Amino acid sequence: MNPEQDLEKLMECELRSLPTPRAPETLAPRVMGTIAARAALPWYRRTWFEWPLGWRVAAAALTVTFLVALMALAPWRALAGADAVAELVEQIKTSMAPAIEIAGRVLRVALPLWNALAQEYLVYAFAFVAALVAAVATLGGAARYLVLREIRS
Amino acid sequence: MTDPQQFEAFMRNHQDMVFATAVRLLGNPADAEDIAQAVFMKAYERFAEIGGSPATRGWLRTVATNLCLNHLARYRRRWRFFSEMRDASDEDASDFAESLPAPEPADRHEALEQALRKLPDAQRVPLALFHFEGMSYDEIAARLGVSVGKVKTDIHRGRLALKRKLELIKS
Repeated sequence: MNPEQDLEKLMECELRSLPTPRAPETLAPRVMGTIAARAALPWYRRTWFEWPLGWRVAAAALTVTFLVALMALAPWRALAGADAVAELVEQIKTSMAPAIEIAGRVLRVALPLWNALAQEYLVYAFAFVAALVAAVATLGGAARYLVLREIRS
Repeated sequence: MTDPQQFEAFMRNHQDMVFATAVRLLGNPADAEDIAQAVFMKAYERFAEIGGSPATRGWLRTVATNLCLNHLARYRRRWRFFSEMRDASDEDASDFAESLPAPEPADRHEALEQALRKLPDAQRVPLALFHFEGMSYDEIAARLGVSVGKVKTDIHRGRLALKRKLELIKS
């Protein structure tokens, strides 16, 4: 047996013979106190994942409704008229640098296109956006849950 | 719903083992207590699954080890870098334990435990993983993200430091 193996064997023997260090007396009260404090929190102060099922469904439905309403009633719908947009672009053009003119031209072309396409594909767009928002909300909720759990622990 | 009293009994059964795992990896009882608390909070969340399982001890040890390594990586930052700086400065880290003021707790076990805690992270962590957690050099290297050669060197230095400490105690 070489010296390295001797040393390994010696330290294995010495370290394995060490008694298990005792946990401090404060550990159990700390853990139980944290558990009690967490249990005492009202449901609405916990993460979304810990809410009662009914409230979770209601919150999700409310979020989707709000987003759909936002899409349907949003200010940019009022700007859909070409005149309003043109006026806005004119104002921007006059008040800002000529570089804006390029953006204005793009807008003039893009907005009618957007309006034409939006009429046809609005439902699909809403569905896509709703799915996207739901995915982001789920990921955000999960991330928040993980972060809060990490902080609490 | 987990019964708090049942969980407390479970925790008291395992708390020494969890704390020991943590304190030997971290070398600091206060940090080890924090980690042990985090381990038991995770255990509480999954108590329905792990409470009566024969794999409970293994699960607790694994979670404790992972949390300790994450803690070292996050808060003690760059212990690997620190170790490499020590190597670069050509300082023999194995002298670290014996360079500390003489302790000295009369009890041999206590002295060895203290010496282990005072080793630099770069030596203590792989040493504890090898001797207490039963991990191989390859596993330790993979877990710590360092080369197998470095793990062997660090463990060797740690063992030498502890051996010298033992010799000091004997003399």
